[in-house]
Amino acid sequence: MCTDIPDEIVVTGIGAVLPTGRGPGALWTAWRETRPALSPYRDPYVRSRRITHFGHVPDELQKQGRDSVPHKLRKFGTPFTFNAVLAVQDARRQAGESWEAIPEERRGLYVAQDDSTDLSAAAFTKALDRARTDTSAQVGADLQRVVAEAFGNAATFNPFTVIRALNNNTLALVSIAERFRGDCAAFVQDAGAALGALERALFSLRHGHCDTAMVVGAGSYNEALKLAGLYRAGQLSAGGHGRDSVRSFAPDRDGTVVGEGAVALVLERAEDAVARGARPLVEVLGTRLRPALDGGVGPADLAESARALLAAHGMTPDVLGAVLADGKGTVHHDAVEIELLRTLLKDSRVPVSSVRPIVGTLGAAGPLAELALAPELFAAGELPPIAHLSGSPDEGTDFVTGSARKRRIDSVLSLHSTFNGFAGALLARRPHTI
Amino acid sequence: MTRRVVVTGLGAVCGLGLDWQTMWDGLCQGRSAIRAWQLPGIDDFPVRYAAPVDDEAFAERYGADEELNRPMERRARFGLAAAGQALADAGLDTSGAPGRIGTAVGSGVPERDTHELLLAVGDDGRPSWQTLLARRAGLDPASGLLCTNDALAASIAVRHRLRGPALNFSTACAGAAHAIGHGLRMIRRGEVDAMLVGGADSVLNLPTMTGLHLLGAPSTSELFGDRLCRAFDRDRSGLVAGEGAAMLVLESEESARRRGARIHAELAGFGSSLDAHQVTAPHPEGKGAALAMSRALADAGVAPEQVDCINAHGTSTPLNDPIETRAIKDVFASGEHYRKLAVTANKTMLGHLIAAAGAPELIATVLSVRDGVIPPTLNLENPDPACDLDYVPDEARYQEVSVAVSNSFGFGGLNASLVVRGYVH
Repeated sequence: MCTDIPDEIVVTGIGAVLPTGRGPGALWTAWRETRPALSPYRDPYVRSRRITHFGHVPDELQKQGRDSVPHKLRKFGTPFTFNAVLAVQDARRQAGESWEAIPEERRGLYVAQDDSTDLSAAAFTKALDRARTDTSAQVGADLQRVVAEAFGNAATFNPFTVIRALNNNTLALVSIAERFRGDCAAFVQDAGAALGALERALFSLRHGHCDTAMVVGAGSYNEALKLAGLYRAGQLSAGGHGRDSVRSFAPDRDGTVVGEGAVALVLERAEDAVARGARPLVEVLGTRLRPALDGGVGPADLAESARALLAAHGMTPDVLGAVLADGKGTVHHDAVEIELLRTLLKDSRVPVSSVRPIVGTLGAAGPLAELALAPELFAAGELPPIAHLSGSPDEGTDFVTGSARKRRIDSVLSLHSTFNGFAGALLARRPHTI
Repeated sequence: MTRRVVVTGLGAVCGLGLDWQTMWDGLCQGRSAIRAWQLPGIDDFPVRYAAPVDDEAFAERYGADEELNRPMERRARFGLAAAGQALADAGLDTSGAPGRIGTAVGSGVPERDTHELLLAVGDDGRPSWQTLLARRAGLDPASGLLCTNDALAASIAVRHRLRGPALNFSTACAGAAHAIGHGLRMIRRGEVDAMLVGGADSVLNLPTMTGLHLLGAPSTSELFGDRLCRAFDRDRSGLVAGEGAAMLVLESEESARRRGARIHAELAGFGSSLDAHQVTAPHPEGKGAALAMSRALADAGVAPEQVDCINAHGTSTPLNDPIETRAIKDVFASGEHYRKLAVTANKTMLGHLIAAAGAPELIATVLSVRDGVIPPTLNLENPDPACDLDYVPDEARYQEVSVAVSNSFGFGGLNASLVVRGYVH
């Protein structure tokens, strides 16, 4: 099928492996119960007093992720890509048995992955540990040599490291383990990667490049150099509030807590989904992703970009059922977003919440996790509050605080920003077919 | 809405030269950028040949450009330079159409070179985490831009004020081709009017080269000297890594004609596929590669027998070359059209630019169509019996090229093919 008329694209399967647990239901429950899934930072290689908390996927769930990958493929993957495979399997299962009849060549795969590569973290620290054990006076001058020896030792250095270091590792592993042979793309761009992957998947479905699209966001911020960079850039919370350290929009916010996870979504044309007896969970309308670093792009421009996304689908901000704000909890990002929301929503009374205090900043999986929450919002008819926020930071915007807001929700706009200066939005609504 | 998409700007930084014209001249003259090479400070690294960018020449040309000389990855530096060239070549004013010009680039493994590791070594010669934190901050205290994989797209978008979509693709050796292909789709359907597309990569650092070596990807042979990259030859023994960047300005025909831009060629089609076979080996029958080529031809509305030339992935690895040959023979089987195809492997001169590879090779494909010249495949002295096509050995061939295909295939079984057609209004 190929037509220029935009088709209704729906999600029919969702899989999630997140700090809150397995499946979108675990995230929804944690959000409703205002129960953050952030925990003290731990890593086998990195010890740090400054990186205090992290959104770790629970160990037992990590093990399930590993077990989900065929044994012969495990040497090529990382824990983060294993999570992705598990999420994809869950999404396929929910999409139903008839999904399996779609030819492999017509299954598109669109992946967003973080910078979480084996080469940059584990190899670096192994080499550094090796260097630490060398007490000779020449260690500084000869570090190149020491590192070369450490890296060149295949007994301690996985020969497939470069494969594990590739940012398309998830794309490769999922395609092989789960039999995808169709159109594809993979992105690395923090949360923006997921928006890019979604948009290309929507495009390919609408223009007939595939008959189903698996969109996967996976990764982890647990990478030594990345954490160091984020810390020094002042993006991370000092952790003074423990697991409650992400204080989205609160006056005492002091940075975000980063995390990890994987989310997979089965997308298809609504008519195809209905024809094969699948249940549409949410309609994905579109995304916007723009660079926002240079001085010429401020909150007003970003609000205009979101407004244009709504207008492209015949909507205005006041008809939205809910806005899921980014709410990273950094001083700068939240200040920009408060202004963006004021400009976008004015006095529309559209309620605004954020799931960030619960799971932290997830990177590539983030926007997909929020899309995964949309069916729960539609079904429950309530928008959980922003955890730890006691008063609205802006009189012109309806930030949900204290208790959940009860109302019918038919559409959701979620907002996102990246540490590298991209900003974007994702628009979804209740499918017509339910 | 379906619009034709044309190529109006080119830019390149690679071992053959620091601009696309020098690169093209080198390719047509059969000049190779591959030379003896060693990692700085190591004299016995097993991989002994590469195609590096000439750092002295780069510094001479771009030394006055403050932005290009601030701390950043090599690939980002090369990418920014190539992007500037491509926009200048196109004469495109990026300030005139807010949101209508975007960028899509491919990049690979984040560069973790030993300079960065050395940041962890304090004045006392001892490495420490604290020192790393402090010195990394000294590099770029204002942001986390350095050494993240999307730094390339971010840097290009900011420097050139491209406010349309900005996408950072990462599909291994097919990264640039995927970025270009999706850029084509975005213009064709009216999402944007123009896209700056391409790729940049540098793997010539200790961690990545060691990783590639442990995987067995680069050749360690010293039998052939700088003639080591021997695509389709019986004695090929692995890839020869290169580094650099190439960028193209893609534009809707309507936009290009409205502003009177020079049109190099038409980018007519894109196809992508996944092998779903093995992480480190292509499908033995080349099914994924064939699917990508077939899709690209269908996307362009071109019949296989209309194609004159294929700019092959041609890595000089034992597995790729015969399998790519088989895939070409499958796609162009009708009337044994594969016997009429001129197949060339630019990597024998450029080296393998990994995630960026598809971009300079697409530039070469565009120029083959525009100028009627097909660069040679070098070092093809003893053809592999399993590689039995016309690979344009030794010398460039002057012939009319109406339609050409450029192939890029990546680790993990990721395939992308692009179709270029001579532009006729």
